[in-house]
Amino acid sequence: MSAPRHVVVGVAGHAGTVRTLSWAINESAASGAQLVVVHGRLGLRGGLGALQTVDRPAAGAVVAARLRLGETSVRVIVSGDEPGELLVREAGPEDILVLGGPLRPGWSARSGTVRHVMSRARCPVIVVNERWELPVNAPARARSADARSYNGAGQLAELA
Amino acid sequence: MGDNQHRIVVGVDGTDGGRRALDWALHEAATRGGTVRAVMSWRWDTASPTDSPDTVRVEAERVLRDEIASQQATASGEAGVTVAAEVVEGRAADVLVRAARDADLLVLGSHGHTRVHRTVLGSTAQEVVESAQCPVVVIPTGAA
Repeated sequence: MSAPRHVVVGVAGHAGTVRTLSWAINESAASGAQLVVVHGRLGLRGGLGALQTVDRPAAGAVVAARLRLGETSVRVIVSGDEPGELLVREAGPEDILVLGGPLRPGWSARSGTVRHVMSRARCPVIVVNERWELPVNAPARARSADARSYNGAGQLAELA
Repeated sequence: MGDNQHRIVVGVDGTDGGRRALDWALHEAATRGGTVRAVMSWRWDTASPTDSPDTVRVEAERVLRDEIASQQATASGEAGVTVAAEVVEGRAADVLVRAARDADLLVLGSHGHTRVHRTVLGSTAQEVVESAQCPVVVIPTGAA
């Protein structure tokens, strides 16, 4: 067992994005692995600029992560590919993959992106579910953004 | 994470998937400065003509002890990690979710290979992901 080369995290502009990113950033800081933030959306392609147009809390967390981990230690991939396929493709056997979990028991893990990724990933998959509380030492801005995404995104599960 | 110690619960079941999960948990604990609680569930099959609850539990304790000793003997750099062991009666998913109630991370292997689908998510892993209070790590079959 060796340290992962990349921490690949999926963001989708739904509830819990900053929560998921927070876990991934901490893991990246602890392991020294490069953080790769992935967002799949039809018709969109690019990096941080593209992410800012669809998920401002996530983009803000990426900026903070670059300050903490270093500019070259955080990469952003926005692609028009289907999110599940994109995540599985971007995460190799020596990486770890982080994504948000189901909001409602019995629903998300049996369908959509969560199930697709967990069934096909070549590396360990970390599911950060909505019941997990952000660390008390998380930046206030992240905690606040997370609360807003909760309120605004309704009951959609992240990446599902 | 509630305090500085990263509390990791890992499901061990005597399979290769459980071994990989324990290996990953030990490495994660060494990296983050945490502790590992290895949990194995057991159930008595009332239809068994030979086993008793005690024999099943004792066998589970033996398997768990052997798995931990084996991983600690082969793992490199994780020798200083504190590992607690616990065997608990009940369904695997219920036992793991309960054991991880105050944990920072729950780790388990995915048992999903079938001939029909390339890989499917094991039912225990699926149930745990849906119910756990903390982040869940699923180690797929054949993961590095």
